[in-house]
Amino acid sequence: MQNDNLDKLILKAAPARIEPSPDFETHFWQKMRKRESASQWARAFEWIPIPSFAQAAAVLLVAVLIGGAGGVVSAMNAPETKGISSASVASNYLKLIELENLK
Amino acid sequence: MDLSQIKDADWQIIQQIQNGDVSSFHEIFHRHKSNIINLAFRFTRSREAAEDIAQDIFIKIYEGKAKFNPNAKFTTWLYRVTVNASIDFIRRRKFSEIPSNITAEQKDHPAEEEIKAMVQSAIDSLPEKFRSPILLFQFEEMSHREIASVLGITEKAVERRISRAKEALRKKLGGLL
Repeated sequence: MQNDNLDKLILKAAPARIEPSPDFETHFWQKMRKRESASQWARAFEWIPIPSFAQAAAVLLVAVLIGGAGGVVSAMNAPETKGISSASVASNYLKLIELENLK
Repeated sequence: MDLSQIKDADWQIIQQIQNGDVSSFHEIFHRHKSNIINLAFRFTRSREAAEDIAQDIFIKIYEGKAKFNPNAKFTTWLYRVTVNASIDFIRRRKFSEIPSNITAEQKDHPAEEEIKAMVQSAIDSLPEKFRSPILLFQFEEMSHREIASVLGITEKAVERRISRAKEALRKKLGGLL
């Protein structure tokens, strides 16, 4: 009995059926067109390679290794010349100038 | 699959769309738009949201993204995606903001509209796994078997959930019964 009452009560709360808005279909096609033009833009930029995470990580690792190797070489070539690493082109240029001046 | 082997007319059209022929799309669109909107409306109680959900589902169909399964009814797939999209919408909107603690005792003689609001609020306050089956059973008049297919659960689970949902509603709406 209580079950029947509950069912009736629930049905009372049922929202009335609605009809689609008159512009429902127009909005649908507008959305479709928007998506199609968005995917055309995406296709236009397809040629730009997007690296995967692994590829980007590999490039970064190589850059760090090269940079690190440069740092090690620089540290091995101590002492510095006028505060510049003696392995650098600038330092070699300064040394050359000094030698010229001594002559 | 050969189109003549597919019994469900809707699946035949879906197969055509997936093969690049969208000429029959409007048939699916006009046949189901009202049902999808109303099903989503039962869940969301927002016309705008319901129409938005329906449009997104038709976009999916138009783009050939409907999960083709001729062994099940097309409407089962359609109702499943509608229910899932509606539940997603409710989660995003935080439907729980709607007061759920209104009891019949708070009103001596609640008017019809107030009773409706109380029942809706009580249904909204149910956990999602109880809410969906009760909405499909009471409002959409689906059988337990249909609900089971739409929600991807067993018929027994549907029975259990409906019974638990009714139990909870009886507690919440006790004063109105």
